[in-house]
Amino acid sequence: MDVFRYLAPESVEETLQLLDEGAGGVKVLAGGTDLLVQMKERGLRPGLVLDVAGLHELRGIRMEGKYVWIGPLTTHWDLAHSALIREHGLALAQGASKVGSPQIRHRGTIGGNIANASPAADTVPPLVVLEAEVELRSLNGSHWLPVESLMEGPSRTALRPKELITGVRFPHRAPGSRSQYEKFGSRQALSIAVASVAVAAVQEKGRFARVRIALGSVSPTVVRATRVEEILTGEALGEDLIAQATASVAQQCRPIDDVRGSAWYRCQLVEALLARILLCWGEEWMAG
Amino acid sequence: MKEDSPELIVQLVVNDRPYRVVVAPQTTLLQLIRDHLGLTGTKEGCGKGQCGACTVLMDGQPVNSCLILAVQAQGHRIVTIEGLEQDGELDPVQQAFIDEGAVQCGFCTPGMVLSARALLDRLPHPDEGQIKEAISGHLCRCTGYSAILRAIRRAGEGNKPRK
Repeated sequence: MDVFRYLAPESVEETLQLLDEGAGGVKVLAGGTDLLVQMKERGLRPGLVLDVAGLHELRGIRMEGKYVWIGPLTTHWDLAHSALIREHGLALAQGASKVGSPQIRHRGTIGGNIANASPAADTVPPLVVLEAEVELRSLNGSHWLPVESLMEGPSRTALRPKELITGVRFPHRAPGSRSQYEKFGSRQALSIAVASVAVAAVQEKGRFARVRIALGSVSPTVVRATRVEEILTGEALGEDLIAQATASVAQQCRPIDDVRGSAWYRCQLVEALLARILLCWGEEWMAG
Repeated sequence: MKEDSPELIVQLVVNDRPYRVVVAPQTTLLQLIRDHLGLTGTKEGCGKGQCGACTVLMDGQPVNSCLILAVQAQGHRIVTIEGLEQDGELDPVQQAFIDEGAVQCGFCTPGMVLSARALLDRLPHPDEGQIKEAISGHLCRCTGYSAILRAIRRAGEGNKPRK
């Protein structure tokens, strides 16, 4: 790695001040599991690295009004093992448990996973279907933005250079709602998703009252499968509906061919992953 | 705020011994351990968090020391493979690796042993799935993993709580 200036600000305020003065060339360091790889392998050369890992106010998981609030420095390990997350957003706990390896999950953070903006990020499809928002703060103030709107392209977000992610939140679980995340990688650990699917739904009287579906690794950003959501809404889960939904999901993708899989293969995978989730729910709904 | 200088001072505890080390900003925890402290049991494999050879315990949790800046270890407690032996006696995980012949070239072994130690501290009697998950961040290109799994299972069977 090339030499850089290193500072460890002691508060969010001080961090915002330094980001404001930095004018580009500044990188925020949390767990380092993406940033250090980019600096070692991909020629990223920040002039200044701001280490925020010690800012304890940016860590933790708690109920805040009608939201579950997650500090952006919360690790994937802590997300995957949180009873609160498992209860209110199971898909997010499942996504976090599939990031990298145990070593990566002990260091990597949810804020980092969001800011890194990989279309294959394991926490992003769950966050999108759970209607999660991120708090972006700068010296000029703060605002909440849906995770879905934050993603602009591979490694590109609406996060401005002077802004810091200071919170992540999603609404707590409504009665009858559930969520699930399924990922396909070339092996169980340390694999980047070839395709992934997250679904969150509210069920009323055996029918889908609300559905959100997000697809990973099949477009430049994580995308919603809105047409499939429309097909499912108001309907009861059955074999015909599952067939109809899975037949439409590939049309919502714009996958590429790359070393991990061909575009064709990725389309087959999203169909299979969506079917896996719906079949699993269907059995439970019909049983109960 | 820490001093804005090309040389940074890190105070940390490695294997129960306090150290004060002067490092550059770009020095990794792995380099601190190997080059500054001379503890060469920790290995560098891929250098990007995929092979697990550089694994150490940071506050009891396995982490890739190649992806942590040395300065980020400020105030933390690190355990390397050299820190497991106590009063001349090998850790039960180390002994089980020997007894089961779970070591071939040995390059992945320090990291494997540390991840197994952390697992057994957290779950004294892990099942097969929990053992596999715990070493899922380690690559071994010699053994095919069976002997390693047997060794960890054996260490778990004889497990008694440690400190």
